[in-house]
Amino acid sequence: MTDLASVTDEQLARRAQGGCARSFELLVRRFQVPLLHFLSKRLRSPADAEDVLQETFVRAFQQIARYRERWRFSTWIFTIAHRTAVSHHRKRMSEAGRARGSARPEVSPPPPDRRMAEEESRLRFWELARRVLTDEQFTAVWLYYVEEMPTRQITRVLNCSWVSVKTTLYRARRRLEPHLARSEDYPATFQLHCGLVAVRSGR
Amino acid sequence: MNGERPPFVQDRIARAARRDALRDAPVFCDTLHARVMDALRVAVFRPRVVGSARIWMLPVSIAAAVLVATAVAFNPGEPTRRPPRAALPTATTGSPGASGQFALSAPPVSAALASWGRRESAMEADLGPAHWAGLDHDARLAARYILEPLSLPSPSPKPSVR
Repeated sequence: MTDLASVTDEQLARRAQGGCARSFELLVRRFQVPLLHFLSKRLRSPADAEDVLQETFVRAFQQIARYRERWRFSTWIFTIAHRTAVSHHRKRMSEAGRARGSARPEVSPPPPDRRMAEEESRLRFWELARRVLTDEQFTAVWLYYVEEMPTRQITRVLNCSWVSVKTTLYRARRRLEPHLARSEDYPATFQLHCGLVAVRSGR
Repeated sequence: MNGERPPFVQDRIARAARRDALRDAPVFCDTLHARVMDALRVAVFRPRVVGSARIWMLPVSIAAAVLVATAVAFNPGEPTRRPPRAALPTATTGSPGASGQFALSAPPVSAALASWGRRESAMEADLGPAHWAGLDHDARLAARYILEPLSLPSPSPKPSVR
């Protein structure tokens, strides 16, 4: 136990590939909180987040032979978590039926009766991000700002190019800025800047 | 790409993202950990080795193809062995008086059948070897095409020329 605690994630993964269940259990212990954190923000329900977390570790264990040490284990496990969350989200949407329309409601001025909820959600960054960003944008922003993952590793998670990740981050920021600008966190100069951007883009 | 963005914009977004993420960060839960480990024990008793199966697929396929080609090349085809033909009737039965006139005007049916059977056997004897000789030729060619790229000794250096 004591010697396993000092080894890296990648070394544990290699031991797990060799059939060491104890090493994989330690990996579960290490990544349970970061993954649950990501999934609880990514999915609406905490129960869904726990289900997807469990599914993520089961898939990881089933596919541990595919892991290659040239990638960090955190990148690999977040890749599985992201894909599992996307599948879960699509399954939930198909269950809900197509009558409800798009999975992500269009971000437009809310009706007056939703004004209070809107005001509250403005204060919560990730609530807002979940509503206005796509799946890939949300994951990219989370990995970049919260997990502080390098862009190169994010390309692996999202299975796209480095340029695509930079574009995804840029568009995500652009979507978030107008909403964040209305909150108290932003100075008047930034709100003025966002207003100018909105005028230029014809919004 | 960030041309029209002031430098503090990303900092603000980063700060808001991290602050809100840390606000209600989950803590380690033993119950959830036990649930995950139970799911692992139930769902997968042993990790699947997907990669090794793919690795062995190609050599085994090539070996099987070479084995089949070699077997075909070293066992030249022989004419088909037909099941023994049913014994043809050799004599007419019945009273000679009833079929006497017909027997005088036309050859007996048994003789016609026997004659036809002989002719058919002769034709098969002529056609069979030529037909299977062609198959031998094709099989040897196929074996040579398979073995030559693998730089293995060819079972028949010279295909038979007909």
